[in-house]
Amino acid sequence: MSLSVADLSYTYNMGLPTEAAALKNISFEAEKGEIFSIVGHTGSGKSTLAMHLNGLMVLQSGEVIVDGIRVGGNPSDLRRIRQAVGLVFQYPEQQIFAETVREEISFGPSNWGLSGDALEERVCAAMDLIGLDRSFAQANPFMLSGGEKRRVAIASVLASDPDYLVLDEPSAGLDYNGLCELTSLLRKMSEKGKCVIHITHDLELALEISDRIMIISDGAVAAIGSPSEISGILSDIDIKGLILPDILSLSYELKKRGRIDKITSDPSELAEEIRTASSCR
Amino acid sequence: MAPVSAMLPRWRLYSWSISLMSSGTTLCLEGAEFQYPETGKKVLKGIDLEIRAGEWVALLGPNGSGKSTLLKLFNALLIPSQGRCFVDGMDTKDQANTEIIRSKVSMVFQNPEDQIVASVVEEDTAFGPENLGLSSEEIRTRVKEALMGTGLWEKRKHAVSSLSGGQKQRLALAGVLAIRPGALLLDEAMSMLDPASRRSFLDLVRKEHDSGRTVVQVTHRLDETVLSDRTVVVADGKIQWQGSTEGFLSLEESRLREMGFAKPPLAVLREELVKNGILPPSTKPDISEIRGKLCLSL
Repeated sequence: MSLSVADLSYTYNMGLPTEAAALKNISFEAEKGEIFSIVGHTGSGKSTLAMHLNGLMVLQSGEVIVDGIRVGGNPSDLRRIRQAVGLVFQYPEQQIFAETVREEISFGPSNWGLSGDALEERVCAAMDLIGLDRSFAQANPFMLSGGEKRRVAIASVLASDPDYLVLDEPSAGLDYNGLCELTSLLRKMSEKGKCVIHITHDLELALEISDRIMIISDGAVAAIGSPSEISGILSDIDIKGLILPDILSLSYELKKRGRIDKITSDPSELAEEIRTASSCR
Repeated sequence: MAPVSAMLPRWRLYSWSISLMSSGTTLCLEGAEFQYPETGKKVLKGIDLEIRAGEWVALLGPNGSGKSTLLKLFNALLIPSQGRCFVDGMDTKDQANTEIIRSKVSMVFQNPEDQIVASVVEEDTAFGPENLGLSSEEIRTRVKEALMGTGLWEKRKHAVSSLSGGQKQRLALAGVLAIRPGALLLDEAMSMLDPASRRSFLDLVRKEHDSGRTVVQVTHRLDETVLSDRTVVVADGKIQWQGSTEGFLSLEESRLREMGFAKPPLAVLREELVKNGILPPSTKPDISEIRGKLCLSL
């Protein structure tokens, strides 16, 4: 069972002078139990792609298949697709609407038919998973800080227990501890057999936490592979908007000049390589 | 974008704009407290902080620590519940000062959609100067200057909706620069940008700072703070640490972790290379500087 996308293309304002192709023949398959990161520059089409995955956007060409069900096929399947694919938007305030955090988080599961104690348990479990103190349950989500709103938005999607969790730039606006909690949550979700589709422009983070990475540039797939495969080819491909992480870039440069032997993204390891090279001179 | 009243006499506005062209603005908090009336929660608890004209201050802290609230005190979007906030000596509590304070201090938010008001690039940039009641010629000059400075001049006739996220954030900055404020407040203004857009946005901020503007930058990314003069850490509504940014980035990893930060990888590399005598202690945790020095020494 997987989420697969085949030859997906999408053009905004088609036929108008402002026509802009956002997605160009995108194909990939994301499996349950993996963290699949989609990395691209601002405006590369990442968010447009995300909105196709649970049928929020009407398909123009290509297909999206979730556990064998075709998005945009039978309208009665849309409910099952939306239940299976939970989407956390780039700006959490775009999806928050309720007056209390509890109401916000319980909206999804109550729509899927949960009520009473079972609903309360689901809300509390989602808050615990994302590290949101239960004292927040009665708080007005609009009065929370940006990072706290993001947690509420993620918790409200987790509460529906989707098999595919699509998160659009979930790390933006989170402090360091929040980021650690987020990455551990994503790992926990994938270990539980969920498929985590992590959309980001943070290549460094993607290399650190993903099982596989797909890089998109100007709406098309530029590369797809494991973090080590991607690290190996990064210096050979020109990807608009993405800059190699500093340590990796320095490491490539020193290796190219024959000063060090190994490419690494770890600063201590690079320092050791440089120290060895320096003592050999 | 903070609305600026056009009700004031034009000669006053004109004289401010002239005086603001080359000087930064001083921002000062004295025992400032803030409590949101809706929740009764005290978010700031007795903050004393002076930011000198032309200084670049990085304001750090965990989510919900009060950073954004503190920033909003500086352009009178919020007024302290206790204590006082001064902008170039003017008390923000005095409503007679509000318009001039908002023309001196401008904010760029995380989401550019929150402050873009027009549908065409140059119209949006002109919004602030128009509200200042400036002449058409002066408005045109400022719009051109702001759009050239942010690299959007070629896009001046384009629809805002056709811009990418990074371009929209530059447009938000252009709208603010056209007001020619003495202080720029950046509330996680780069958090949604990809690395290339972030670097180009940071370069723009560096230019504005070099021209004498005060910059207060809220961020979670320590690698974005290397250009700042001073770092102020806010936790639970109080100042937890303040000092030079260089000093902050040189703190022990364990101390940084205690405060909820991780040392940027480049700062870790710099420290280890300095410790081993490969780089001089004066080296900044800046990629170009480290690359240049390493290529010479290896």
